[in-house]
Amino acid sequence: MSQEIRDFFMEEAEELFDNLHSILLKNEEAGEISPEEVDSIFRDMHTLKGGAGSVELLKFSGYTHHLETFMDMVRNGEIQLDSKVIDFIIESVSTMHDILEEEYADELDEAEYTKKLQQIIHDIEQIKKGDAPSSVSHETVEKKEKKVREKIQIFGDNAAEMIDLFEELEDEIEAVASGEIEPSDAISVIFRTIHTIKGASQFLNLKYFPTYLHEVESILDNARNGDIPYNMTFNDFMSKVAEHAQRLIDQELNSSVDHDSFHEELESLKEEIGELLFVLEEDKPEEEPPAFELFDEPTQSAEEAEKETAPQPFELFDEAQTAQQMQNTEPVKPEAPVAFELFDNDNTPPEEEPKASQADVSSVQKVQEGAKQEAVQSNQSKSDKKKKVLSLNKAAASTSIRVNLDKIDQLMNRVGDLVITKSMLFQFTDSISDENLYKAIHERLIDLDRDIRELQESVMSVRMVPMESVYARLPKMVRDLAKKLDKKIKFEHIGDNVEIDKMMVEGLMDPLTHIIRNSLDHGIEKPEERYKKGKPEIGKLIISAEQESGNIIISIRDDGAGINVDKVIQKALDNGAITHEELSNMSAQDKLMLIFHPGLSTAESLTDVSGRGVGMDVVMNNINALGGHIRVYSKKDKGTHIQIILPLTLAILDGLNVLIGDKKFILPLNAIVESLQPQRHMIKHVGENKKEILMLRREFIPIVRLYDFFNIEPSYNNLEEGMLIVIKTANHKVALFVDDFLNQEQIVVKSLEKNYKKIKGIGAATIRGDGSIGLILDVTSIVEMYKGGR
Amino acid sequence: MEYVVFKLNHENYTIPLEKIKEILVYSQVIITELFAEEAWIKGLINLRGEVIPIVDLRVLFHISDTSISENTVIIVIKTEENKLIGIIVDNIESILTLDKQTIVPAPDMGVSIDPKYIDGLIKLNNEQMTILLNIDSVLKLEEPA
Repeated sequence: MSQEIRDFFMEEAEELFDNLHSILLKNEEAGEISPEEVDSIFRDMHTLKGGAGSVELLKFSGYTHHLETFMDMVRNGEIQLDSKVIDFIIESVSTMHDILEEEYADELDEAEYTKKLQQIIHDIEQIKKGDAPSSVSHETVEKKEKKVREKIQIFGDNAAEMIDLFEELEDEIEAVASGEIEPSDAISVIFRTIHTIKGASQFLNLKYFPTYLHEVESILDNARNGDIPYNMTFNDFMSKVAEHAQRLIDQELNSSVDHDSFHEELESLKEEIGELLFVLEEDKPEEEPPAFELFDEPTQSAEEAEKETAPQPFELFDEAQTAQQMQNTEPVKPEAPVAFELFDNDNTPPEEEPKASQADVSSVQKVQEGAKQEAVQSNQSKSDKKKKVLSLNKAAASTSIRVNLDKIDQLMNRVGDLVITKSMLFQFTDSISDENLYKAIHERLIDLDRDIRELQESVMSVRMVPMESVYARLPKMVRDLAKKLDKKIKFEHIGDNVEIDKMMVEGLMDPLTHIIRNSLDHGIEKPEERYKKGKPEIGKLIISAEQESGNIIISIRDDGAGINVDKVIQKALDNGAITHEELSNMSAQDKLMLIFHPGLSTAESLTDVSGRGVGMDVVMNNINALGGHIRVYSKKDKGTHIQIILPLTLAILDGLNVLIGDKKFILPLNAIVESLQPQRHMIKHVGENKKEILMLRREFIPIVRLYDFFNIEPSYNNLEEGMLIVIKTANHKVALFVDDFLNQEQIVVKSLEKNYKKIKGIGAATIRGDGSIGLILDVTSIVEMYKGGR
Repeated sequence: MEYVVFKLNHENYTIPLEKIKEILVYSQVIITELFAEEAWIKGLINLRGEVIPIVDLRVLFHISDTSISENTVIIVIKTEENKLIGIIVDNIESILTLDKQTIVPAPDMGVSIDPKYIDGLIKLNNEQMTILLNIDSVLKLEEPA
């Protein structure tokens, strides 16, 4: 078993688990899960089981099997859901996850596993005994529709795949018909394609279609085994079947298939199979009965063939399936063509569908129904509700494709190159002396500039993913932690649809985890304590995301005890993290920011959840690495509010060119607070080393002479002649002394680590208009180094 | 296998041709100074959108003469870590096709550079010796002992 495939499965499994958790936790409180969601859970488990089986994670697959069976019972209404059952499912899913990780890491303890397996079998038995079979509760229509909208997404991907598969199938059949491939060689390929289509259709929530294909598959299987020959006649039959199957799937997606009409379709298929077998049988002995001549003609259209052949009495064939089918259905002969007539007609009266789906309790159908309505809505507006058809093509066209991140990066790089070329052009135009020419070119360049910016934004938007992907793991984490800590917490996330650069998602996970842990551990009090304080026993934890003027703002709010500032300060003084002198200069915000100082934790005792004081400075570092910053607000007994402010993207930033001696550097604009030419009275010298401090509106800001830092000969040594740029990092403000500052420009960030390594003081590089490299100052590391006593 | 022989301060060094991505003429590239502590980092160049560090091998090998001439070139190496790093050398001498057998182990003494940088010695036609550099180990760029 190749490791790659296994890893791929693990990745997929994580996604499925996320989905499972999010559904389960959302409904934990309500004690019921909508039929669509039950379905989704069942399907996820099914996929997990199947996938695990194929990568030989058999223990996991075995365990999952039991849960899948259980979910099937839930789905069928044999087991009624209540919060206890949901709790059982949540726990079991957790166990599933553990087993998967252990088995993947090859650390699965056999005895432990057997115990878990017995436990789940036992539990399921208990639940079965305890509950009388009854139907699964139904949710209101509005809620369902919301769910459906989410589903269409998934749906589109699969629909696209389905179209590809059908095309493949048609090509294969065509290849046989045109004589490119020997029919005998084609059979296994065609069989496989049909099988794949069948498999894929299950993801589309189809009910009838797979049954239809199953029938086709069995006859193909016979051919594959050599029981019957796969020849031109069979091939023609297949081409017809492919056509019907496609029509059927479109109709089913359109919910214009109900139980009866499908059975008619199925019957006619069986009939055709019977005929085919008959013909094939006849083919073996040389003489061909003239009656079937038409059928053998490859040019004959499918419809004609149907009509011609349908009336053939099928009692003639002793095919087991056909015979069996005969018993429980009316003679199909006259009906079959009628059935096809209906199917051929795209304008099947729509009034029929709601009835059909209401009659059918199956949730599967309801989802499709909803999906169809969704599609219809958009269709209606366009084409006067002429065609209420959701076809595969439409479903696929309306949704997304999967693209490798590398490709997007390449695209981004090309756009980056464009930005660079553009700035080269701008630079070049400055050297044009002819006024008119300059004007003409400059104007067009401004147009180009706008277009490039728009292009850049479009490409950027491709990299954006909804915050949902960040939130996905949080509810489960909060739930587990709350249980562990014996706290009652209501967790909410807001802004699921706010988009964030995919590159940032990874970097954001750790900080969020730490902040949430802290909130749960130190922020929100235990129920008794909250009761005493007159607060509701259930604590609130809200995470929200919003976009605001080029930034993403993520807020984590709790209504816990708040940060005990005095304690933090005391600890910081004890640790020597700050001096009394520094303290006296600190604003309230600065004091709160001390919680991000390495080594400070106010927890009275260390818990295994948090409290070692390493967490929060990780938060700071990670957020800084993403080019963002943090703000903290806290009120005693009211709660804490932590705000993370991130730039929209990492790849391009606005920078200010600064001059040190004859060297140009780029300072990220988002770090700059203000710039000024200092006057003598603003500069103070303090301490033994006569450290230079800028006094700005009663604030004391240390001055860093950048030329000193980089060992460059400056144009000015005197602070009053140059410029001071006040920058802000996490908890510090520093004034950088530079000779001058030049223009502001948009730059494409290029990593130094790709071909080299981190360099102190330099965060990244960019390519300038003249093709040379520009250096982007790493503000955080400069401040750190300055503090480190440089 | 093919090898490239280049000169650093009158001494011949050899590296496998397959390691070389590109050869640039020194006078035609713009090098941006990096202000790094390591003196042998000359700076960064832009190679078609890639930011590539330039290492002055002469500084790394403690050669005092670091003058630039019209023959000075930058050889861009693709390292085993898939990094692109340029090295400054005095000039390219020749390209040879060699049998692996002609490579002899380097003596422990009498070589001016750190032995871990050396894969062996190669005898050239004109009875001269050339040092076969382990360019990957050179470009790990750890602090020289």
